[in-house]
Amino acid sequence: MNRFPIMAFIVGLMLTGCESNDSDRSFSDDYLLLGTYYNQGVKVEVYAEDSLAVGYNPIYVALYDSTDNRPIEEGHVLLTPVMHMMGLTHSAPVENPDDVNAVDGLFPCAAVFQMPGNAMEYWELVVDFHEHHEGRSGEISLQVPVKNSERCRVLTGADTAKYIVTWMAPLQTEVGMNDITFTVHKMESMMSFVPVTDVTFEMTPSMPSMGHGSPNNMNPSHTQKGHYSGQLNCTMSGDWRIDLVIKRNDVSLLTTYFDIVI
Amino acid sequence: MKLLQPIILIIMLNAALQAQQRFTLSGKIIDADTREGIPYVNILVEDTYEGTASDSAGGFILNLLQGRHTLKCMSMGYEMARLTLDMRESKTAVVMLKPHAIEFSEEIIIYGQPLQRAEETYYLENKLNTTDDVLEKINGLSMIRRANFALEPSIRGLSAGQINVLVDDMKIFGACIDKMDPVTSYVEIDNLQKLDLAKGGFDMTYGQTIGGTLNLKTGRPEFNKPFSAGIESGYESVSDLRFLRGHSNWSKGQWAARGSFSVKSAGDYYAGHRQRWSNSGFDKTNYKIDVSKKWATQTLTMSYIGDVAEDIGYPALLMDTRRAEANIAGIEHAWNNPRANIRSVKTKIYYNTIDHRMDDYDRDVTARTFMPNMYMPMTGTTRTMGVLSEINFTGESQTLKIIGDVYAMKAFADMTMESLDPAASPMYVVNLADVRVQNYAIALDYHRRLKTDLFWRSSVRADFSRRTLHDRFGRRELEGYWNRSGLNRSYFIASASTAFDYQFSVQHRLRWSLARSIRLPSHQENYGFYFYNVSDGFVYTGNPELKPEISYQTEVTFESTNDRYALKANVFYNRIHNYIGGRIEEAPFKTYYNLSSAYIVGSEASVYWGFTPSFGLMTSANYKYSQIDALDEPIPYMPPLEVIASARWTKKNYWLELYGKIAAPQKRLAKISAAETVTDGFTIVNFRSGVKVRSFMELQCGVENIFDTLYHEHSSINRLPGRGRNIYVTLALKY
Repeated sequence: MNRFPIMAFIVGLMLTGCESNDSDRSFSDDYLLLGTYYNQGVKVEVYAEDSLAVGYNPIYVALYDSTDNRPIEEGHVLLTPVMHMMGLTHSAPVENPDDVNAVDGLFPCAAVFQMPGNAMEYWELVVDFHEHHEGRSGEISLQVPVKNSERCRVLTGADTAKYIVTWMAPLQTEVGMNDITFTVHKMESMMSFVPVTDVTFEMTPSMPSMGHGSPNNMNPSHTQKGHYSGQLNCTMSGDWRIDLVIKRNDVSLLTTYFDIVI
Repeated sequence: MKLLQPIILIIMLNAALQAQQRFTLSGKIIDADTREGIPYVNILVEDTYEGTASDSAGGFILNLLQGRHTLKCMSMGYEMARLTLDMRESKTAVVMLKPHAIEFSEEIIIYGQPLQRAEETYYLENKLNTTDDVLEKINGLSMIRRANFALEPSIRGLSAGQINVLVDDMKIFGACIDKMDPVTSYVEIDNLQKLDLAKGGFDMTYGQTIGGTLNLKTGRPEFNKPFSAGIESGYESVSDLRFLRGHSNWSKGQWAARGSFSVKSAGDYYAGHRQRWSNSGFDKTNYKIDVSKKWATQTLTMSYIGDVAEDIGYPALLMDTRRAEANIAGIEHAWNNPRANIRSVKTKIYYNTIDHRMDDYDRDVTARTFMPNMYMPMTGTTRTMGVLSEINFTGESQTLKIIGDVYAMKAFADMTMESLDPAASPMYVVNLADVRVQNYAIALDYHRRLKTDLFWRSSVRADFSRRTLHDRFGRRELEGYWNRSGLNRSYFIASASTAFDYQFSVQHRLRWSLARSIRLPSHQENYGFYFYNVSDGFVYTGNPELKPEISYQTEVTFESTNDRYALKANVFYNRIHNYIGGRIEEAPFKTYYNLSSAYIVGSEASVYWGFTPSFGLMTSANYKYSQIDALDEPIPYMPPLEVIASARWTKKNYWLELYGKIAAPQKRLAKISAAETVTDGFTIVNFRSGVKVRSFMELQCGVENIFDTLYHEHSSINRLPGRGRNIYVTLALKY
């Protein structure tokens, strides 16, 4: 028993030592490492917040000099998701960093997978990089599993164009007031998706088995990059249906709903 | 008129009387201050039906059997005096009575004959079957019926948070959000010794209130009874009720203890016209233990009440109680010194737990319109802890009482909704988010005799109340509902009242009372979330921003009494500002708001005639008119004009009573706040009797609602009818 405090002290010192060593930094405590790749003397680590699923997925890229493992925090990163299905390919809505500087050592990206992967059809992430320390650039790619979820809708709008509406946040809705965010993208071609910034939302939550809704909901409105944020109030746990009418110039463009369980 | 229909009743009496020698007691009753004789004092001999009254000079004569007797001497304006005499010869006695001060509350003694004031306790001196039976008969009290079990009391048409209901001065908060567990249900008739009923907001001893205070006082261990015990069993035909109850007292030296139990089981009850109400039975067990220790000037009493009720059917509601459990404990220390300026110091520490579970598993949920096709089991709990301290200072013609009243309570309630559709997820809602209330209060109560015939009483009380929410889930529900955080709330309120009592002749007195009294929103009114109110079909949510209700009220009471009759009449007016009620948000949801103002004006009168010592008549009437200004309708569940008339014949070994209640129709309806419909008038006639078969055995029997009238009170939830014809019999043995 007497030795315990001494051991705790030593362990504490060791832990402190690990944290202070910058070159040995690790993001795997906070993020899920999808893979580590090397190209052009650059080590590329690709992280996700959780295992990838249909819908909006933040993806983070970390760059290192592969010789001394020194972090590279300035450069360009370009993420391209590619779906391979029976010899055909298409992409997905994607978000890439605006800034050349990494945020806390990571280049933040995001992908909106509109369908899951399986044995016959799979998603590939292509990462193009161009680092500013020595000017090296290259590309790595990785095949990733994407599981199904109910958080994404591929819809045909009143203008006959295809749109992708995604429930971005929260992943776990709570009873009470929730900050809620949707994304809206328009499919311009198989490989090109653009954020939609000019629509308005009418959001109506209700409990189908109770026949009532909730007060104080705030319709999502556009913030940036096709993200629409509002407030969703769920007065009790159970099954909720969130009905959405998405309008452009006060004319209904898209109608859909999301079912959630709290 | 049904009342006039001939009633032929044959009572078999077994009057076994032993011949014993009698001695004469000649006495005089005098005022302790003036030493003058007091006329028309009621003098009663304990444990007998005998008694008399003093003449105009204060003198009296009693013929008493040989042996020890205790006399109780009571007169309006004086404190009661007790005198114990050993009658082995004829004697004389002088009894001094101390003038007593203004009582806002009527002290209604249930047990312990003889009665303090015959006219007030007329219905109560003989055992009734339940506490509710007692409460129902008190002028100005009405009972809100939800089942054939535990009716909720309403004082002059006000109930719930507008009144205080206490047990032995202790605060207890019901746990059921549908008010299925009124505090009155925890005191069985066997333990109910007296009721302190203060109508209106004038008495602030135990809380600021706008409607009144009902304090149920339970029996205490008696030090002068080394051993006594009683057991009673009975049957009621209307609900196939069987009960067994018993109590025992034990004392030795400085110690005394009392224990009691009650077990009841009832089936479905029948309303008038043999209308059976299925799913209305219950099982209930209650036990109570008190232990006291006495020193020269001090008494310490520990009390515990345990009450468990199971499977109570609530035909008027959507749910039935599966189990309701109460544990009520208190320790009271009293220090008395009749000769010191600090006359007494009383301190009480108490704690109680109430746990209530209800569900609709016994109901056909597919058939109902509100939330069909799902079961909704609900739980509710409260925990209350408090300290109450009273110090009495007494001077020559004045008294001052200082009361410190601190309590903390927490309340939690939730509901699960289990859909019959297997695809639907279970739903869950927290109705009370671990609401905690901490309340600190100080009250001053001052009496002064301004002149020999003029008394003055004045009370002030200040409360600080802090309310917080401690369940995250439930707090988030309310934060979402109000679209903000920070729902904690503190209140500071102060009330004051004053009263003058003028005794303009020995027989007549007039009292005028005035109060500005305030009541805090209840924790449900502040923080309730999705309470279903069956009376208007709306789902209510509380409002943390509610302002307290402020009442301006006044009352004039006239009392006239002599040895043969007693008359009491009052008129009162109660104007309530910031009246709290529901406002529709969007059907079926309502939120509590302060709805401008409301008022009640009313009058109560009662007359008692004691034609002979063995024959008395009692009649009382009350009427109230109320209005909620914002809704342009009356306050819900306001009783109509009611008249009660009763005659009783009392002999040494038996008594008979005929009782009738006539209620006028109630056509003034609270349609918005309670979806009320017209209540028809009705007449109910009861016959009751008791026979002392042996000195240790008493048989009681009677027929209630003789004509099997199908009726409901206006305060009956969902027009649930009252009980039909009920033939009951009870047999009591005592040692």
